[in-house]
Amino acid sequence: MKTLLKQIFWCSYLLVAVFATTAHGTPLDEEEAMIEYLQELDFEQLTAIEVTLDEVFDVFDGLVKKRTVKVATGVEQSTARAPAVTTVITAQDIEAMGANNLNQVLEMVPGLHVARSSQNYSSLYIIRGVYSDNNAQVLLLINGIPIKSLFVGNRGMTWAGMSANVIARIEIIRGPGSAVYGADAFGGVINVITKSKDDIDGTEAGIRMESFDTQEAFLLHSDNWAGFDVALGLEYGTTDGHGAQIEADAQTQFDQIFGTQASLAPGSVNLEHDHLDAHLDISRDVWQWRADYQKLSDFGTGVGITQALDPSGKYTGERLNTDLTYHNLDLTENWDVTAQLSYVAMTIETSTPIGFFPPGAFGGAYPYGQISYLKMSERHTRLDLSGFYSGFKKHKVRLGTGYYYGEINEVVSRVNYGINRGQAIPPGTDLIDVSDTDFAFIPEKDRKNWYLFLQDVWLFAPDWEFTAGLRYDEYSDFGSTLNPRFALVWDTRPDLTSKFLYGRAFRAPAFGELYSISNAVALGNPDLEPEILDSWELAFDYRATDNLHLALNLFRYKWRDAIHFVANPGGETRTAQNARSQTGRGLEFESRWKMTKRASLLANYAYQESKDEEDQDAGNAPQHQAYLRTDWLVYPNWYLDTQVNWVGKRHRTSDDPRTSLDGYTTVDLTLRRKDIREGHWNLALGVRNLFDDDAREPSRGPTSRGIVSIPNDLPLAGRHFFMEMRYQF
Amino acid sequence: MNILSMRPFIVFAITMSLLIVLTGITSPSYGASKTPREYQLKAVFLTGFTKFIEWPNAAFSKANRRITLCVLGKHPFGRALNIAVARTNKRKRKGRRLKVRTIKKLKQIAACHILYVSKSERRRRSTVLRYAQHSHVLTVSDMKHFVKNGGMIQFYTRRNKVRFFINPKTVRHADLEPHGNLLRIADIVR
Repeated sequence: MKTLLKQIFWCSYLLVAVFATTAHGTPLDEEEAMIEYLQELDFEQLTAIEVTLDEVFDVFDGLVKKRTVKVATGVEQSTARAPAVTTVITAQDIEAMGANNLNQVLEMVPGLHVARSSQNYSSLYIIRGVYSDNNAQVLLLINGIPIKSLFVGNRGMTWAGMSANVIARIEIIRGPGSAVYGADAFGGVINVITKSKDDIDGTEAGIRMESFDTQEAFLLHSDNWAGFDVALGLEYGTTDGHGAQIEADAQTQFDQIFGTQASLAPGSVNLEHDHLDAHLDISRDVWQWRADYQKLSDFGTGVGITQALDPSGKYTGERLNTDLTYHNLDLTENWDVTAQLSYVAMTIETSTPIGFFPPGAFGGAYPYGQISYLKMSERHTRLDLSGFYSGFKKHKVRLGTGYYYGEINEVVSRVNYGINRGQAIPPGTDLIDVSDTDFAFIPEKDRKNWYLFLQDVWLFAPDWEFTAGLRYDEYSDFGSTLNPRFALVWDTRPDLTSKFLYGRAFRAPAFGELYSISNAVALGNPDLEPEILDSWELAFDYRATDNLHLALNLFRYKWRDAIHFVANPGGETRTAQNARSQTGRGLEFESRWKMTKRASLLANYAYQESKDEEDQDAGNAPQHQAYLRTDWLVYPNWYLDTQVNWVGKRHRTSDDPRTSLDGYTTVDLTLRRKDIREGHWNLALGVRNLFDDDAREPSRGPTSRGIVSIPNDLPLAGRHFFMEMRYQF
Repeated sequence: MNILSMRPFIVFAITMSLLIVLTGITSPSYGASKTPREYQLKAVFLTGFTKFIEWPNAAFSKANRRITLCVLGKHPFGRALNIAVARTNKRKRKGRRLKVRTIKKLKQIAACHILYVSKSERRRRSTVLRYAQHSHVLTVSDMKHFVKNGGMIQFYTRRNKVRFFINPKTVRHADLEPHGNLLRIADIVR
């Protein structure tokens, strides 16, 4: 039945696509003709002509409009000429797709796949086959400020994306960015730019209801108060999560060995949480102050902290990121200067104790199971100064320096198992406080880092631009590192740009990898070195017509000293080591096509082949990926957005005995009613995973005993629906 | 490789190729019935203003003979402004030719004859206007209250039509002479 449904869908899809191209007629490169026509008219006639307004929802034109990025070099430039392979996602794209979270948007980036972690089901942004359990190899920035946990190296243990309502645009680099951003701009950089006054039109409020008992409400407002431009955003939401079934978990495997029946599997994955997002942006002249706060409460543990289902364990996670930015284009004749002071605080605390193993495990020795109460805070303070100097002919020089201080503190660790001050905690005891001892899950530590970078863009011939950059970083805990980048950009023809890019990146070991000593799951190693990645890219950007843009890139990378938690002999623990290396190569192709005035198509395909040191597939990342998105004005004011996402088969790592994980295809539809001229209401209805495909992401590989804790991988949501209503005051 | 697992990819490939073949078949055509874009019309207005404004000779020099049309900040025009300027220059038998310059620094305003101030410059609009006061430059913008705050021409849209406010006093204050025909069409602000 499902197959038949799918076939019907594909056939009708083809028909619709054919209809969209032919029925609405004329592909258009007629800007010149239009200007010529307008110039024939006199001023009086011109004031009587009806126009299509610029700042309205025109997703078709938006797809092929010239896009600029700042993420590549720090200066705004067209994506075609930027010395990196970049993608821009605008607020209009987000609205068209009907997305309400950053995680739902990123799949449209060629070569980027959003997978799930066995740890809390956090999203993993997998770029070009660079896969790891913690996904610390991608740097996520909010307004240029790293959201980076010192403990795990990723976005924090309770990262659940961020509200799409406050996002103005997202700029993504696939490939390294350490020469500009320093540590962890390794596999890629994602910079989320939040909304300022100009991005919000007065006041807008809305609600959204979704399957899995998901409800959300939001408010956006912008105004000018006493000469200050102000933008405000508020969102509150609650969800039960999709609760897909986990057939067997870590405890199931122990039950088989010890003949117990303690496992809570089959059971559902725990993804419930409430969220509160608040956003504030105040600016005047050369000053801008921004603050974002997120609170996640009753945050479920996914498949459990040790991959043994834990329906009762809950976290509370808080994040505050704020920055004060001074940007003066006119400080002196030749200097364009930026100074940014920023602060990021992240706190995680268990609101209900986390279950490591359920009651009944270990022959029933622990009546409440092995449980733990954890709390940890991180604070990150940065001062960054940079400036462009335009005093040399044909050169644009950028200089920058900065200082970072980060610390993990307020570590509280209470456990009812393991070791306390040299003594084994007897089973059956209450939670015992092991904070401030060597047996806490992470010691309180800090890290200091200062850096200096230099970048030169040299226009050495009329159509040639050479970018060279170098960044030096000095760390208080593991020494210094130097990262270069080179880029040659050639305007081969007026409609074709070719680029050759080289970059080196490093990833700083996270504190969990360095210092974790009593964590029952993963042990740290203070002798770790940073991971290194060298990458080479050849990229082409071809504007075939005004309405058809094509991009192709070929890449190759070598990832050295990759940190992996290597299983220790005998036990269930793993220790961090610079154990692996990986080489990869592949290509990404993208086409953006405004088919008619009322229909557009975005299609991309990515291929990657990554091998470990034994020349085996590095595993877990899809080799093939394709994405197709069409937008269509079906009827005046009615927009239909279709997204088809195909994720190919995922091979396993060489130590994983399981057969490859099957690929999947999800089809998402969003129907939106929006009157761009005078409407106040904006309504949308959508379905996700229309064909209820059994989509799964790889679970963690085997322990040294060859036990795979979650053998049937991590299921994603099946078919589900949403409804959204917005009102513009 | 299991051919069934490749099916979505095959369908994807077929859809793509069909669509691409179809673009080849449908040839571009143009009819005056099409609606122009707001920025296209504004680009034509901007170049058109040069016919209705007279600059004093002091505004030009040997090195700067052309009428320089500057855009400060983010460019909303795409190719439209360059096309409009190129076409105006092509048709010109007499009079000054035009050129477009995208600028970022306020000091560069001194070399401009028309200054289009993008909305992206909202935060420093008063500084921009203060700089512009020292030159013979016609200031134009889409920003709300631009004319009220000391600007010369401000575009606005009403019922999907583009119109503009003008303050002849500030125009004349910069030693520029607006043509009667321009004032007749514009909404005068005093």
